Amino acid sequence: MSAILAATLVPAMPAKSPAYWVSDNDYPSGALQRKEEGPVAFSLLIAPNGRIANCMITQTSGFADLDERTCAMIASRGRFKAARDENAAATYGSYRGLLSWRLPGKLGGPSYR
Amino acid sequence: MSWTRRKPMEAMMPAQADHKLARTLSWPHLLALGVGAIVGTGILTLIGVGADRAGPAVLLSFAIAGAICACAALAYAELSTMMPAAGSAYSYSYVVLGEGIAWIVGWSLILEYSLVVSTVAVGWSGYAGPLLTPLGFPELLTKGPELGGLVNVPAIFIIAVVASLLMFGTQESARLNTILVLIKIATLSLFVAVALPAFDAQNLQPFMPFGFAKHMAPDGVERGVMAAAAIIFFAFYGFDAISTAAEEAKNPDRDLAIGIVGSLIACTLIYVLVAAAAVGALPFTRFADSPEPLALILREMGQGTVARVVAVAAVIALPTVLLGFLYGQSRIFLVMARDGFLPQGLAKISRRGTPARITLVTAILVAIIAGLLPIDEIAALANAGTLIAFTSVGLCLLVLRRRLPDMRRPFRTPAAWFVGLGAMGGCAYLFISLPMQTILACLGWNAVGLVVYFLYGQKRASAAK
Repeated sequence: MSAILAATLVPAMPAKSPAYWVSDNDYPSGALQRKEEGPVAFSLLIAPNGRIANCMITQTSGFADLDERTCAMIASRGRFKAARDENAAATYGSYRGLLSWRLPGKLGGPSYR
Repeated sequence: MSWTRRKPMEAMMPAQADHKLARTLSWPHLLALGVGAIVGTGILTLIGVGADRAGPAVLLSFAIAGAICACAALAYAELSTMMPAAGSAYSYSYVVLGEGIAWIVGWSLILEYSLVVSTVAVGWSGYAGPLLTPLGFPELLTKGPELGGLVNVPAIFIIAVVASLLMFGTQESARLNTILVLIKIATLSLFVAVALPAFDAQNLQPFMPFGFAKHMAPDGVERGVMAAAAIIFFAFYGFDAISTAAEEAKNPDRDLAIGIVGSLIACTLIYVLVAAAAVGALPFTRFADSPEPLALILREMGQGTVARVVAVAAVIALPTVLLGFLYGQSRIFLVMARDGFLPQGLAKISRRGTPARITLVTAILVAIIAGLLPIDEIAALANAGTLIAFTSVGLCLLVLRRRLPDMRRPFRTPAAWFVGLGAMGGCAYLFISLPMQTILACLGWNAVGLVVYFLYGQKRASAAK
C-alpha cells in the first residue's frame, strides 16, 4: 500500500544525515551471533510534521531480525523536512533508502579491484 | 656501501642475449593491457560505496582520484620512456635513488602485484565456486582454510590458465586480453546507454550531503568527498603495469606514453560516465551502500536482463586483471633476478620469447597466497604497496629533472614539479588515510624486507656485479 502511495507522493529529504540513524551498537544481538548481514531496502511515508508515519521493507536482507531492526531504528531516529506540495504547504512525502548491515569490526578493507 | 650504490643507466638493459625479451607489443596492446588491469568487477560495487560516502558528489571523488593518478601516470610515462627497462618503479629507483630504496620499492611492488593477482583470483573463484558445487565439485576445495575450506582450487586453476597463456606467448596473451577488454567496455557502455536516458537532475540534489572534507560520521563511517576519493583511488591503479612492458614494446618512445596516459584517460572516462549514469538514474539513497548498485539500478528500471548481462560479462572479463598484474609481477621479478636478488638462471628467456621460468615461479607464489592464505585480511596491503611505488616514481621524476636536466626525454611531462609533488603529496595523504592496521602491517612487511636485504640481498647484489 505505502509503495503505491510512495510513487505518487512528493519526495521528502532527511533533516539530519541518514548516517545518524544506525550505528554498530544497534546490531541485533541474535543476528550478530549468527553472523547475519545483508542489504535492506525500505520505503518510508513521511507525515506533514516530518515524523515517519509508515516504514515498509521493499527488499529483505533474508534475515527477519535485520529487517525489523531497520524499520525500528529509522522510525525512532529518522527526522525529515516536511515535503511541500505545489502551494508550498506541508504534505505527506515519501523516501526510499537502502541500509546494508555489515558485521562490525571486520579486518582490513576490500581492494575494489 | 652498497645501500646507496646506484645502478648505472647504461647497465639497465640485459647484457646476456638469452635474457632479452622479444619486442612484440604495440600501443593498442599496451592500452588494452592497462585498461584490463585497471577495470575489474570493482566498478560493479564501487558506486554503491562511493555514493554512501559522498552522495552524488561521488562524481567529484572520481575526478579527484583520477587527478592524483594522472600525476603518477605522467611520471611513469616520462621515466619509462627515458629508461625502458622491465622493472618499472624498482628499476627507476635503482638508477636514481640507490640500491636500498630500490629493494624497498621492489619489496612493496610484490605487495601490489602479487596481492592483486591473488585477491582477484579468489574473487573469480567466488563466482565460479557456486556454479561448480551443484555439479558435484566438493565445496571444501572452493575456499581457503580461513573460510572453513581446504584449498581454493578454482583460484589456483584460473592463475594456472593465465600463467600458461603468458608463458605460451606474450603477443597471443595481449590479443586475447584485448578481446576481453572490448567485451568489458561494451557491457559498461550498455549500462550507460540504458541508464543515461533516465538521467534526472533532481537526483543530484542535494549534491554534497556529507560535505567535502573527510570526517567521521556518527555511525562510525568516514564520509565526505575526500573519504570517497580515498577509496576510489584504489580502483584506478594498474596503468603502471604497462611500464613493465617497456622491453617488449615495439616502439617504447611512443607506445609506452600512449599506453600509460591513454589507459588512465580511458578508465577515468569510463568510471565518470558509469557514475554519472548511476547517480542520475536514481536518488543515491536507494543504491548507496548496496553490494551490487549497478544491478539494483537496472532492476529498478525494469531491465533485469541487462543487469544479468552486465554481471556475467564482468566475470568473464575479470581475468584481464589477473593477466595485467601477473605479467607485471613476472617482469619485475625478472629484473630482480638479472640484478642478482633472485637466482639468475630464472631470468632466462624461453624459445617463445617469454620469461617462462620466472612466470612459473611467480604463478606458484600467487597460487599459494590465493589458495591457502586469508586473503580478505591482507588484500588492503596491496594499496599500501602501490602508494610506496607511486611516491618513489614521483621522487625519481623530480630528482632526475635536477640531476640530468638535459637527458633525452621522449615523453616530457608538462609542469613536472606540480606533477611530481602532486603524485608524492597525494599518495602520502592516501597512505596516512589507510586503516591503522594496514599501515602497521605494511611497515612490518618492509621491516622483514630490510632484514632479508641485509642478510641476503646485499651480498647477492654485490656478487652479481
